[in-house]
Amino acid sequence: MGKRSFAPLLGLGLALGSGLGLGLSAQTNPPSRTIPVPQIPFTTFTLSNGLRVVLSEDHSLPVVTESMLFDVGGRDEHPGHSGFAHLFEHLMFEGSKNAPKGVFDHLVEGYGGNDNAGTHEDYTFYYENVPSNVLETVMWLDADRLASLNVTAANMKNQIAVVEEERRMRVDNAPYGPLMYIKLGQAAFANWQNAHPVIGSYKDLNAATLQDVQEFFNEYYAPRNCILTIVGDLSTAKTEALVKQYFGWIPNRGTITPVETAEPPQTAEKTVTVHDPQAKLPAVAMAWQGPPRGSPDFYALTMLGQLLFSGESSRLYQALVKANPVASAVEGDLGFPVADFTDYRAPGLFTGLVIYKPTATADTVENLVFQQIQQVEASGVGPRELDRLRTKFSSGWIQSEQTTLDRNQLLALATLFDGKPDAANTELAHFLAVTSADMQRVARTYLTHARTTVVVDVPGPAPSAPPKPAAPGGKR
Amino acid sequence: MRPILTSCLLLSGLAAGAPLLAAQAGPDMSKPPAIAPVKAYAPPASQEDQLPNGLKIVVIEDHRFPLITVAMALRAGDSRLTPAQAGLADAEADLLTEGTPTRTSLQIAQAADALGGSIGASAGSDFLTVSANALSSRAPELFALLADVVLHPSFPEHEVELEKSNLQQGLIASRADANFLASVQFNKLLFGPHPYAITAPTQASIAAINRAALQRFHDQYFLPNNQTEVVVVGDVSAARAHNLVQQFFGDWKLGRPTPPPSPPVPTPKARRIFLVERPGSAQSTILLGNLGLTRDAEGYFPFLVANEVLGGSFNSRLIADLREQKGYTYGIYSANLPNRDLGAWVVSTEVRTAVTAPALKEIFAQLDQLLAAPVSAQELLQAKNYLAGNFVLGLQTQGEVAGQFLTTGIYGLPKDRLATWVSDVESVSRDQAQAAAQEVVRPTRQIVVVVGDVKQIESGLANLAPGTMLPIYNAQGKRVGSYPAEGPPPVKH
Repeated sequence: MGKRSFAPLLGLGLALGSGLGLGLSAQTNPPSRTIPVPQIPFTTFTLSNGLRVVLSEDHSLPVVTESMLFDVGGRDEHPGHSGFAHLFEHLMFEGSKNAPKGVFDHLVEGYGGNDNAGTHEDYTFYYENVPSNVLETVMWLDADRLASLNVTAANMKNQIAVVEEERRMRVDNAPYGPLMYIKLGQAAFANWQNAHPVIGSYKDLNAATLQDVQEFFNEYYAPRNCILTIVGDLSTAKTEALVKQYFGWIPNRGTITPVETAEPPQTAEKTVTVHDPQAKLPAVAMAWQGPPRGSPDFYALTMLGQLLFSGESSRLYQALVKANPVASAVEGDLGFPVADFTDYRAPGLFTGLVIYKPTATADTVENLVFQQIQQVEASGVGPRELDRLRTKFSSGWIQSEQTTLDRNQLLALATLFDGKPDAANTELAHFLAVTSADMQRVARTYLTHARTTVVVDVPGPAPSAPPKPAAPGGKR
Repeated sequence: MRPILTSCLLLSGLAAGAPLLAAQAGPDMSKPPAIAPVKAYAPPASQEDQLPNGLKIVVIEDHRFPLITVAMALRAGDSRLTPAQAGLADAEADLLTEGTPTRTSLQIAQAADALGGSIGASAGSDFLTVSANALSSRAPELFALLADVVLHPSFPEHEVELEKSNLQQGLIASRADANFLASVQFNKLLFGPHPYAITAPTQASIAAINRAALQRFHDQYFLPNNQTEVVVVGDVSAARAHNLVQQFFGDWKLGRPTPPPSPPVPTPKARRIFLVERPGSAQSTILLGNLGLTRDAEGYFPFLVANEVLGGSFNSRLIADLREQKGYTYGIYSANLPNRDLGAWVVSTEVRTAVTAPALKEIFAQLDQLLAAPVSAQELLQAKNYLAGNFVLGLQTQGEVAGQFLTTGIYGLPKDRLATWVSDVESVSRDQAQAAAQEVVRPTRQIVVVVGDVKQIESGLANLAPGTMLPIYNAQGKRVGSYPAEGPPPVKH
């Protein structure tokens, strides 16, 4: 139960085949068999204060999901303030002018719903799933915190402590947590905006002030920087009127000063070692900087990620877990581990993580991974494998549209990343159009030795001091 | 710079009667809107049937998406095993999809991909469940694949060896996980002689797995009449789904299954604290509880409500106190975990090492408070609303629908369980909730397991259990000492 999380939970060894997985495809071009992918209906409009609104009506169950997506994430933080976007996300539940601390959960859960939020590199997403009779109540709650968040010093101190426990639980106390959430980004990126962890440092978290909260709220939590999405058992006309009533009057505040996120190209392989006191098995992560979202290379690298990592039929599972069983778990994607291809945005990483057996070495694993990449470069993907890849990808796409929350996220992210909710319906075609030659091209372009960042996870605590030559005469 | 948020927005709002900088007149935001009555919910219609060989079938038509989901359960879970066999049911489940006489492991995975689906199995305490899904247009091929892996697994030698190696590595990896260590030790202590006590294998029990044992397990328990049930949800007609089950499982030969043993579990005489070593742990993981309720227990719904108030959701007493008030933890939850024969009721949390004893003391105080007085009328209403609303919210995907219908069937619950679920919750009174809490939550019988940096937490925890000794275990579950340390063994004459 990740209440208010900073990133998706890692599911090492378990996540294979879940979510929007795999794909396959058949010929070089469109899938041989037409798969009926349901289209998500929607209405969209923008209020005079700049709030973008997406409504999608569906009466199959008496439930509805409302979300607010803000165009701000860990990448927008300033040095000395790492972790602040996520801390702020917690504070959004700590009370607003008319709904003091505690009221949010009393109402949402007390009327039968649930709520949560997540802070990512590039956005922060808040949602409430509720019985549809409660929709107006959550509109009131969201409008009140968008208009007049009200954080006290005591509540802020409390949430700093809570976030620090979250960091301990997910990162410091978890095997591979420091590798995935701290060290990998630091090793792979030169620009602090991209390199620093979304969860933040204890020092920066402890230094956060109420003034920081006010400034962040003014800059990023204004209607013009928000997408409001409501999906489920609603009347579009009635809901549009209610949205205008509850959100239309909220004024904008401040302006956003964009941060510089450009990343210098990497020209030589980097290797970093992490000592991991919580891990029992060694692991190695290999990462490469990826292309801009929405570019042809983005779709191709995503499909290459499915080919290499998704499910038991995937190339790397077969190579590392089955044929030459050096590994016990293999996972990866464009965007992994802090995201996946659905919320990837450049500068970002294409990453694979391999947990391997103590009888193997990081070098062996790395070589085996490169063998598979070179195999794609040399021979591409045959028509039957490509067909399977496309079929599975399409089916996964449909699987991920089943809940009101699923569709809400798809529409909101499409609006953020692609400027239009309809991308939730049209993006799939771009992935399915990827050819074998496209995957060969991105393998050659992106997954090269010179662009690789390798992080080796060594179980056990860090040596407390540099090893010294044994003194003559032996031990203390 | 701007004044801090609190004074700025609160004061200006109060003074002006409208928010600062409002561009236009806003609505009356001073109180939440009235809500309309909750809409009635009816679970999807199902068609039930049984084949002559005993296989129970439930079909739910769901035409929202062009998908089909099939879930099958058999009474072939971990409770079938002796401690020396621990891990065999997991291996059985994993290896179902690793080879049949006509398909290799890779061919099974590729076949599932080609159907736009997946297939997999897992072993729980009571049941082994096989789940599969695909595009509904490929339903016949999905059933063919499902029947092949359920009825004809071949357990190829090289796959068995690889599985054993992976289970062994997995066990090593799991022992790095504080929650794993806590739950394994907790179940061992709570269930004692009952098979539910064993929830993890050992390196020795994994080593003992072999092809013959896997085949024997299959012969004994993979029967159509071993409390076996298949649920089909999807974009197919009920008649077509039924025919597919009949076509692919109609010839399955019935056998003579017996229920697994369910020996009585002794009642602890006092609350005891047990420690598990995890040196350098950044937090302490606390798992405490006692026997809980099965799904068919009379007090099941009243206790769901009482537990909800205590720690079932974010809007709970435990969260309000230990997270939102004290900042000890990121999360704390309580839950009744019902198995077929016995349930466990647990509270679980992770807290920073320095507040381990204060956090546990606070949890104890919350339990005492729950038992001392009925929940308030408002708490009762909110808890019931939460349970009812989230029940409906949890029935959106085909997998969720299949899971609920399967649970109803295999746990022997009334056929109309899902239809009456919401009213069963809504009819609970304050007195019933309190009586159920008093029946289940037993401070004097609780097992408390704390995983963490023992040296830093042992003395503080000992103060919460005066006069008792706190046994200490290592990650392998072996008792390695106690706090205070036991004296030298008595001299024998």
